[in-house]
Amino acid sequence: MSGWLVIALTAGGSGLIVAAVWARWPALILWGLAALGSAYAGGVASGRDVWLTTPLVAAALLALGEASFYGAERASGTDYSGRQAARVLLAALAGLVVSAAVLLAASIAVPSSLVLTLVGTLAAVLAIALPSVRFRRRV
Amino acid sequence: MNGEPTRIAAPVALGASASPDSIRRAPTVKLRAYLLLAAAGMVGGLAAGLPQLVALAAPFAAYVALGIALERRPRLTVSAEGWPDRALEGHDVSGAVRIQADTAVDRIELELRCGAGVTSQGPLRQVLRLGEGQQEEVGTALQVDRWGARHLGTLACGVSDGFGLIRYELAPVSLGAVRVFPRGETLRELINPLEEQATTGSRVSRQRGEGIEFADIRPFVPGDRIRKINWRVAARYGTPYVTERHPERNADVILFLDTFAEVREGAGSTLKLAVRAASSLAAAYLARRDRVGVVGFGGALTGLGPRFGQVQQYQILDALIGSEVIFSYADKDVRFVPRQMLPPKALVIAITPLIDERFIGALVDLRARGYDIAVLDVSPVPLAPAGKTASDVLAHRLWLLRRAALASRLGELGVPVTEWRGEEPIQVPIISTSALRRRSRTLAA
Repeated sequence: MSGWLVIALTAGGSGLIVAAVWARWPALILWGLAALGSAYAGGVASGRDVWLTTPLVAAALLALGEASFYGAERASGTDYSGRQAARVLLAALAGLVVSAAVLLAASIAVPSSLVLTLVGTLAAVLAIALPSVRFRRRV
Repeated sequence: MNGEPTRIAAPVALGASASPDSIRRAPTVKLRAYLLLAAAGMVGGLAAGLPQLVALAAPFAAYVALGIALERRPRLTVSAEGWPDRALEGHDVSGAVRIQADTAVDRIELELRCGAGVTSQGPLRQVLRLGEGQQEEVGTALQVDRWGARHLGTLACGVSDGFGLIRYELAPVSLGAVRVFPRGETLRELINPLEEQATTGSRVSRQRGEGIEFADIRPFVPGDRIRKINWRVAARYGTPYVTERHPERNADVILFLDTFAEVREGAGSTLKLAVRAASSLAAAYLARRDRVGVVGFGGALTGLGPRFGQVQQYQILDALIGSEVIFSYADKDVRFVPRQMLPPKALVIAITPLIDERFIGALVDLRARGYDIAVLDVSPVPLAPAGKTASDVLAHRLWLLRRAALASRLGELGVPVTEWRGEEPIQVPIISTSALRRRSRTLAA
């Protein structure tokens, strides 16, 4: 991916997130985060040292998502700024740990394709099955 | 009641509430976004063989999995309490919303959706956080802009879990309905009827009989009571004289409301003015122990026969807040009005914008039947300004001339017309009407 495309994706993603918070339109945040993630993926493809930066970027993206959703769904009369800041920090820390753990698992001496297959299968099953089971239950 | 605004009964508590059983659950935008990001990262990582992308998406997947695994269904009850069922036009209607949480709730969003013609004095959206077993009472005030039966609004309550992934929607809580009575005005002077009724009241009659107010002195004739003899005058003239007095009588007053048509512009309306005038006049006449009735003469005929007292005042207010213009091509005249609603010798105060020929015809007909009529013209002129083009201005001037000619024609028939634009107190046109009636009586004499 060319440098200009990475810059454009970064700028576009940031703009989308700012617009989502400003216009209180949470649906835009997905596209903003996706654009930022794609920009980072472009950096990954360009061969930079990603083993160190990936957990940081993952944590930053999650923290950015949390802060953006809070900003887009804010309401008058809220006094949760402190609690929300702590929650964002906690999410970032947890994201850092999870991301690093995934990378660590991928770097151990087993075929990476096996790890990826296992992780992908597990994630797909979780992503599809868990919400389906939860939301099928009547309240 | 004269000089006092309409008194309102004590507020009645409403039991409207939303129970925990009526909770609906739905995923939030955040849940969908994180799931999509996680899936995209995983699939992209698998396709490209890049574990870094999986590591990028893994925190989102972990967040979703943790949030769904730790989800707890909230249990809370929302109820609206203390909202009145009666109010005065333009006054605040205040009440409270009580939220009782049986489980800890991280984020409760309350959104007030006002009914038609109702505005909120405070914020429409509030966010709360309640611990287990806690309850919170949120008070708010609403303002109702116009008389009538109004639905105050509903309160929507949404709850988000701690992760913001799942949203629980409670069934909206109704704040109930309120009957808004028109705002009354103080009236110190009223239009006096030409003739009173036979029953006792507070109005000094022009007739002579038993009463308090002095009327005249005349020579004694056989049959006069001894107690009526004026001893001072008798002593001076040497023959007995008796004192005559004016009896105190009451009057029948019929408020004849034109509901054939109205002119409306923004918040202003001729019907709104008419109802306000009728409310003020009814309260003032009833306070003087006159019998008051109301007739809504229009597409639909409504009304109340004349009666005394505070109960009648509330019935009139109820009838007035139900006043509405019902469009009809039907040709109606006063023969449709029941006789009980238009008793003989009644003072008929017509409140009309003078724009419908059928109502004007009814006025002429009533006058021909010998009724004592005064017309309060709730003027549509401020609500229908002239256009910008020369032809529009000319048409507007012609319309004004026609209205003036109509008022003059009615005046010649003995029906004084007084214009009221709603800018000044209603007392002003009432005094003008009384002066016009006095002048016409003097000219006739």
